This record gives sequence, C-alpha cells and structure tokens, in this order.
Amino acid sequence: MNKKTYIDEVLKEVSIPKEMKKRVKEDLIQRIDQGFEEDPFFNILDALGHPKEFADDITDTYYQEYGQEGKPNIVSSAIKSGAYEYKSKKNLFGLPLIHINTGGKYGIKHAKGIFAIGDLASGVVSLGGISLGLFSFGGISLGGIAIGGVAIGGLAIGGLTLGLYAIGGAAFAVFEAFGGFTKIL
Amino acid sequence: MRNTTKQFKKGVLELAILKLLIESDQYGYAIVKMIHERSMGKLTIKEGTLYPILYRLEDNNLIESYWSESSDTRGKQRKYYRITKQGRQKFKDMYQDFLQVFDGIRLIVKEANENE
Repeated sequence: MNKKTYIDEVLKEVSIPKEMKKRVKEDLIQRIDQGFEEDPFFNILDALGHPKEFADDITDTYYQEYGQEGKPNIVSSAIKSGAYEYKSKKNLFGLPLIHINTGGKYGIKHAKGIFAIGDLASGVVSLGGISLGLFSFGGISLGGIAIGGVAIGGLAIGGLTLGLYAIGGAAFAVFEAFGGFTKIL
Repeated sequence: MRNTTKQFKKGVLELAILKLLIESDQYGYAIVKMIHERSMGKLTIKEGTLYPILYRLEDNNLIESYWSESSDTRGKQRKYYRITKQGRQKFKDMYQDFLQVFDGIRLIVKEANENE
C-alpha cells in the first residue's frame, strides 16, 4: 500500500470534522515521508497499522479529547464501511446470544451465535450470505428450515431448493415438492 | 489493552507529552518513540491516539506548532511542537494533582493490604 492510498483510506474512514482531517493528512504525509527517509523499505502497514484501525484510533481519541458532540453513531459508521461487529455479552450453550459480523469492504466475516447475522452465519437462527442453522435465511441457506436463493434443508423454500420437503422455482424433495419444476428424489 | 489501562493512560499521556516538550521541542513520531523508551516500554502510544491529543493541546494554547528543518531531514521541513507558558503551568498543576491522587491510592491499597 503506497502513501497516497493509505492516507486516502484513513481519511475516508475517519469520522472527524474537515479541518481536523486536514491536520491528520498533514501529519500523516510527514510521518510516512520520514519513514521512507529513515528506511527505503519502510512498510506503512507495519508501522502505522491498518488504515481502518488508524482511523478508528483517531476518531475515538478525537471525541475523548474534544467531547462527544457530533460523534457519529455506530450505525452510520457501519453503513459507511459496511463493516460491523456486535457480540452480546450474554451467552447460551457457549455461544453468544446475538452475534452480528459483517466485513463490508474488508472481506468476509463469520457470525456465530444463537442469533447470527453475517456474511457467513451459523447459529440456531442464522441470516447471511451463506447461512447454516436450525432456522436459516440467506443467499445460500442450509438448515432445518432453510429459506434462500439456494436452500437445502428439512423444509427448503427458495429459488433452487433441495429438502425433505421443498418449495421453490426448482424444487427437489424426498417427500413432497412444490414449485415451477418439481422432482421427488 | 485492558480497559482500565486505557482509562489510566488518558490523563497520564497528556502529562507525559507536556513533560517531554518542557525538555525540548519535538515532532510527533519522536514523541511516540520517547514515551516508549523513557517509560521503558511501560507506556506506549499510537500515532492515531497522539495526533488528536496534540491538536487539542494546541487548540487550548498549551503547545504550539512550527515548521522547521532539522539536521536529518535533508532540507525538508518538519512540524515541531513546543510548550507555551500556559502549558508549563498546566503541567505543574496536573503533576501536583497526579501525585496527590497517586499518594491517595497508594495509602488506600497499603492500608487494605495491612488489614488483610
């Protein structure tokens, strides 16, 4: 990651007033230039960390120092990057009661909880791009009751479904199948 | 980092920064390194944490920044921070407060240990 990309990423992620961003930019340019002066193989990520982490540090400290007024709420920050994680303190059977985990532009994240929502989600009730659960909802969904684009389960409902009972555009079932195209296996 | 460590560090870092700037003018990264070295690794600060503290100290007129060349910057300007008169006074007040709190806690813990 080069200097420009790093600084652009930090400034995109940081949630502070414009005039503060200018100061951060100025200091980051100086810091990175200095790093390369000291070491031609200076690695920005090793020295300063991931731009998102750097931006979060700046944002957190800024609102500690200047007061909480204008602090962006967690939801708007999450919407901005698409990355969000929440894990409830309450556990059940060794799993968090609620786990929400989305990587957004930082990649695919796995949510694992009684109620799980994520890029990949597994739990009793799960909702995700790919989800696995007793009650499972997702793009690709596997579960006792599975609802999704592609659904596989005891009862599978969706576009392409495979189950003991299946309802779908194309439904393949062991016992009963309902839909546009149906086949009993 | 433990949450308590974070809470303790908040005020202490400001104290450390002001003290270093009383000794000599510094630029951001030098402050990061000095805090780590002078505390023998017991205190560390990331630059993402340092910058907003410096900005707030500057906005409160406790420190001020200026651009200057240094011998190792090959003609490039570098932003330095220096402490103001108000900053020096602030450090004295803060340090007194810190010692008072520190002594108070030490006595409480000592008494509690003796009673155990």
